[in-house]
Amino acid sequence: MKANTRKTVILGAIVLALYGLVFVRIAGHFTTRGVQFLVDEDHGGAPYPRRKVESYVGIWAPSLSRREAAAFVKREDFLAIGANAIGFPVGVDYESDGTYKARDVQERVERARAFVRYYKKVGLAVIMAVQTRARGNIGVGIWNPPEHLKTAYLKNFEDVSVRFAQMAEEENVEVFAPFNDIDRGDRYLGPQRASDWMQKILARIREVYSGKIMWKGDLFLAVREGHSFDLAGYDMAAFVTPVSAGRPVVEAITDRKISELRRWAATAGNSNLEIVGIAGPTSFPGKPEQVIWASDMLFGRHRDTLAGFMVLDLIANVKDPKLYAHIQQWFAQLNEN
Amino acid sequence: MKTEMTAPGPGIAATLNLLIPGLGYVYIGRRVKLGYALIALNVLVLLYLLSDPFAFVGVFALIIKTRLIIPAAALVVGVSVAVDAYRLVLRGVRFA
Repeated sequence: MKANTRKTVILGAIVLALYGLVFVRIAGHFTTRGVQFLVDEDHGGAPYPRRKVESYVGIWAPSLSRREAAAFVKREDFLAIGANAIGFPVGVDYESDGTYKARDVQERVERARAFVRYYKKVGLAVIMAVQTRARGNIGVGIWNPPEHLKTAYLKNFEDVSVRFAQMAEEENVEVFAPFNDIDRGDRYLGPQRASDWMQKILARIREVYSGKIMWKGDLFLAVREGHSFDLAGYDMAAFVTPVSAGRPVVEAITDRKISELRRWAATAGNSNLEIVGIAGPTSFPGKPEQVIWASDMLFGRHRDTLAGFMVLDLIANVKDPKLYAHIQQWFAQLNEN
Repeated sequence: MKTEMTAPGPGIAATLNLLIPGLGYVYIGRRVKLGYALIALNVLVLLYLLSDPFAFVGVFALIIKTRLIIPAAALVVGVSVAVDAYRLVLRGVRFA
């Protein structure tokens, strides 16, 4: 065989094999087989009871509407790592005019219901947070919708959130968050509007839902820029450790988030507010060792003050053997608390 | 001692360069360094996509944001190197 031909065949085979692997991965990204499996198994039947949880220990999964979430969704995985709870956002995209398609809402509600049942069947407590974003925007980068759209999608989202809350009540979901990260940079609603909306929706959620209600926020902008949120009436608050910042900054901002939550709660006369900390990577999308550091920092420093300890499972990092063992060890300690 | 060998088909070189930019150059033995560099770049991108599931989200978001610019640029590069390899073969290639 000619030397060039041999090189060509070898290199071509290597690159084509990589093409194949990438194709398989992309195909897997879009398939809903993993999600469908769960939905089929746990649809129908009587709801499972609402659990009383002293300390929420578990995984905060990425949006269940995404295929990547399916990498670490099996309830056996959660039990094996020592979790007693799972938190997840469920989303409905809004259209270009800020409205939501009723069919989409119904489909997502039923999908979320199936997931809730799937986890609750083995005794896991469920924290469900509802979120929205523009159709076609898949959550990467800062995205700031025009003013009229902000008003429209937020107003229309009230009914969507209430619909999810109704389902949460029917299924005895332990904790419900009316809007996941309403204050995040890419929604850019401004702290005042975010705070007002969360107060406005609270009354409507209370009418249909009797579990704990959570103010799940990013808090980064508020803490950095010195804004405050009205936490009156909320049972819980949760935040993720900040990304895209150096470790000393992450540590300092995490401390600030917790102290500010306490201060806002005190201002609102809400002394019983339970705070859940979620340890995430320090950069996007992050590496397992970053989550190890963040969990040590968050759980170690704030073990006595937090009511919940969760790990953000961005890109299924938790399956990394070193991180898995580390988190398992932490969860064992925290469950002894 | 160099041996003159039958030149490869220009179509094969062009097709290889179109499918895997750089491979056609390696096949015809011309612009070999460029060929290896393009293949290495290709492999790096593929490994990045394989190593990080979230990269897909990023890539798709980028494509959505830039609409047709990235696919069009990739097509232009692919077609360019394919045409280049085709013409190189027609001009005569020596296999050593």
